Amino acid sequence: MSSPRRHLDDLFSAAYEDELTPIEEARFHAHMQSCEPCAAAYAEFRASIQALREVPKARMPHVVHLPSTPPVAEIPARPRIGLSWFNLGLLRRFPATALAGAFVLVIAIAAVVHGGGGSVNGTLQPATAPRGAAQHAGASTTSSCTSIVGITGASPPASFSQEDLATDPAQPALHLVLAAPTLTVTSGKQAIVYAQLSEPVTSLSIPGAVSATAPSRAALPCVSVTVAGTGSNSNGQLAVPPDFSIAQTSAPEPQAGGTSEGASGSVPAIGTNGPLLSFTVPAGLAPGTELRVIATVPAGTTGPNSPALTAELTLTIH
Amino acid sequence: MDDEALLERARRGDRDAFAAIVTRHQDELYTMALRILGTPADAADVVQETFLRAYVRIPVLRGQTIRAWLFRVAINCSHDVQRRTVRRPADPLEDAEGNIVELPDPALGPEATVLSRERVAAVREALLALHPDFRAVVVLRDVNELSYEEMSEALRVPIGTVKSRLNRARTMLAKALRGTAAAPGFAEEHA
Repeated sequence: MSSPRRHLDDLFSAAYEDELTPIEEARFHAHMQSCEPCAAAYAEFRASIQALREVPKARMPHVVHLPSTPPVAEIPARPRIGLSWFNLGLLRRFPATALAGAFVLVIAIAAVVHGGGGSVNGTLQPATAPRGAAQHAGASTTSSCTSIVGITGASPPASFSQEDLATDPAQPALHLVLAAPTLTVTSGKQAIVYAQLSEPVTSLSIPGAVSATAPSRAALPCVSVTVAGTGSNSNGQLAVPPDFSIAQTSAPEPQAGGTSEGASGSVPAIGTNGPLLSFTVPAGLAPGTELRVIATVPAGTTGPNSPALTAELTLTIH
Repeated sequence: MDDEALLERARRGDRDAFAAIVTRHQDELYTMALRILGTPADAADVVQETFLRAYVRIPVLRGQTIRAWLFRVAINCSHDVQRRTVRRPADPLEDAEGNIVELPDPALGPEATVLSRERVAAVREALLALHPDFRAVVVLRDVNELSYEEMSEALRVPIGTVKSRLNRARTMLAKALRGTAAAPGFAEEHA
């Protein structure tokens, strides 16, 4: 049973906000009149709030920089199969650059695949349309991410509040977003991330059309998941199954849209050819083990001199 | 024009409407981030990042309270900064004693600024001594004056949790401020 003093501590905030019920209020004030320590503590409580409220508001010291292009909403783009619009357009206009970009990507993948002494990588492996090599000798042999592919674009579900964003200063409207609903995951359970490279396409707008959104093109970046840290077994090997991989999926987690957006119907319908990816967190990883999820778009993908874009989230086993 | 109307115009490609949202909320977001992080440069980065994310995510803001959503993003960004940042030893906006040089508020005269400096410093240090979760809740309520509903949305916790966490945070803050310049008289009265 709690002491009276303790109990009144719990009521301080409600009393300050005038949220006590009449019975609580009568009891609270009766106690305050008879208990000097509680009265003093409550006065101190009120004074501290007052002091905090009196701290002058600060002002943003510089202008917030926004992309020069109008804000645009992302709507599903036409599903594409095979080479993406990025690759097709680039191959037509800048074949050498496109090939160079592909070469950089292959080198990057090779470095990740063969260089990680203390890590194992699972690379993008779509469930519906597997690309690239099969996984036959462990996750480190997975090399399916050899190109940036067009997808049915969609906005991140509202519940995916953990984000990393990468943009090209020369093309601020083009952005790479990597998002997840949480940064903590459970070993052996499924995890979902959102990864999309998108760019508005004002040239596709229909004059006079009544639309709340402007079209955009979307592509799935190369996404890898790296297990690092302390999650090794007794042999010093990481306890990662050989079929560790990630795949496109069709729906966010069940509780997505926990806020009011669910009722408004604004959660975009995300198909299997969309930006959501799922993977099963390897079982047996120790709490605190970190999984680095990295979305990458190689240099030269979106323009002749475009830089590489990388977005990264670190998920932690709890 | 309220936030919802501005947001609707922004969805239709009106950049000025979005800029109006920025103008309306940037200072309160900056104030929140500054009280949570204690570093003006980091706080400004958080605000910049928050609006950049909002610019990208306009479609999913439909039906949401944009103010609460902006605070939620700003809190997440602040936590990201807290996770990856070791306090810099020589921030250019700190004085020789490590005190943050508050940006002058034109609304305050020089005398008022001097008089409040010690109180501000005491409150700032007391806030930074709190656990980040408690710091966030007390800042949202007592600095930014968010409603419980907005706090619940921004912190993604039930209102009951908001209230209980707020009570604990305020109690800890009161103890941290005991006897400081922000609680004049208490040291003498209650020693």
